[in-house]
Amino acid sequence: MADYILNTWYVAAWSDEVTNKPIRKMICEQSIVLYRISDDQAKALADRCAHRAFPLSKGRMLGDSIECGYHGFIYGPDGRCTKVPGQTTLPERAVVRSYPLHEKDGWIWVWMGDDPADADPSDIPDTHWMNDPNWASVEHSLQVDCRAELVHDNLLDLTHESFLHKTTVGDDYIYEYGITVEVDDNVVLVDRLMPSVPAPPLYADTMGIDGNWDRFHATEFFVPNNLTLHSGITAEGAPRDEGYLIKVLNAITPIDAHTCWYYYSFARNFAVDNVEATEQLREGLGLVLEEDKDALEAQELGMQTRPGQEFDVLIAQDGGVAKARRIHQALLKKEAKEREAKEPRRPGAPANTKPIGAAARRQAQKAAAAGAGRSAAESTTSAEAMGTAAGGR
Amino acid sequence: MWMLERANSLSAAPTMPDGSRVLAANPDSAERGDPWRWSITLHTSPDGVSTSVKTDESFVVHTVELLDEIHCSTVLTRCTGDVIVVAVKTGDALITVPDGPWQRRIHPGDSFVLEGEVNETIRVELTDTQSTATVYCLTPTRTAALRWVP
Repeated sequence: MADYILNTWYVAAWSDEVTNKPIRKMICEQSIVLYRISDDQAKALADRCAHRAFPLSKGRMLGDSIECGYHGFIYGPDGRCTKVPGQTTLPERAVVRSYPLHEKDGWIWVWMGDDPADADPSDIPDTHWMNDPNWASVEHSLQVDCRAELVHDNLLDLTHESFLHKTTVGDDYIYEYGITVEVDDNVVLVDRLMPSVPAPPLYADTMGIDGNWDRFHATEFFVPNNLTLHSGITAEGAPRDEGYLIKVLNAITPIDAHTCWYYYSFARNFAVDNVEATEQLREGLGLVLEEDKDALEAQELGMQTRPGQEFDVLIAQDGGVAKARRIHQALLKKEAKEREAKEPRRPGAPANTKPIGAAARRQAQKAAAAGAGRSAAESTTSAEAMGTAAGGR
Repeated sequence: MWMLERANSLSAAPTMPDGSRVLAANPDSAERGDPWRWSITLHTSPDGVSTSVKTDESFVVHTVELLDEIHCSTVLTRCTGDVIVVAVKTGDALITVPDGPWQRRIHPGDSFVLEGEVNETIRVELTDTQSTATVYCLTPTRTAALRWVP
């Protein structure tokens, strides 16, 4: 398994995707089944029956419980098995993992960390624009066949608009303006102010305005997975919150090392009732996202075929990108350390005191067969240890 | 490009056993193989906080200016191609721009880097008489601009 930051909330689905019919989602190489129970609460369980690993998403709902479609094990919303066909005793280990879940503003967030006690919904960034009557929003989501980090980079360096989106949203001048990067804790802000420029067509067409305006882009990246783009135009010299504003919410959820989900919401505080504008935006932004997808997937192939000794040639413009990558690495290291602390090596532990994985079992058998003098317990603990190492200027 | 990295940033360089920490450097990340040009280090000891600079002298010359109660409000002009780094030693400082609303207060352990190919001006105001800050100006000797490399 690749390295993922797990102690965080990831967007798993749109609220309206999740019904009383179970659906499967893959997040950080963990398959999850999502469904709603009778009081409309959404639930997230490991999508793998404890009995024989059959996907629960292929089962059916029985009231608030989910029945495995293979041999009929039934699980309650907490993941505990409540019925095994043909016997009255429930196996002690017949439980599937239940993931903390929080639903907010149209997105369903799932906590992927090991300890549910760490799952604090107040850590989820502000997304109220998706659900605020003073804002009109357009949504898209797409699976992109690239590592999540490439989408992060894309959103932190918007100079690509001048080249990749030349015929859609591109403006020649974006890269000519400097950026201010601010880094605080796990948040990277990349802010670009473009003073006294013509209003881009979106604003000019919907609001019937012309002349010069101060334009800004500020990407706020809550590493590792959520980027909010605060964008807009204001009268020259006016405060940003008095302008025509856009909030683009981008939630990037890794599927595996080379694929991710991109959840996208574009909200504006102007021409809110202009249905025609909303539909044009839906179509236009869909095209922009397809341009990004094509580029990111091509870049992923470039990354996969690039020799190991070659690295990105980053420039000053990439300051936010580089800082975000470093924060990402720091978070990965922190989690690895925490896991190590929770599962210390136990070199003298007797065999079979806890379940072992297939790889460890093979290694133990190999060691025993070779008569290498190592106990199965030593082999087991080694394998376990390997597994755990796993506002403008 | 301006880079304001807070002391509590998870991207900050680690503190060494002797209490020192690289506050800002070019390149900021050495692992990609870009040639090293300069670094500014923060030293923390029981006596307080100090900073020092190291440069590739064949490529960069530098000046150091200490801001204290005599220079409680200073206008800094960064010439085309130069890099300026501001680090607070004690107290705090307010950084503002003359023609805009942008302002940030910086503290010991924070670093503020300004670079680019167009000259620009900022104002650094020390908050009180106890505050001190150091300003490093790095100038390229071989190229027109010393561009910061992340």
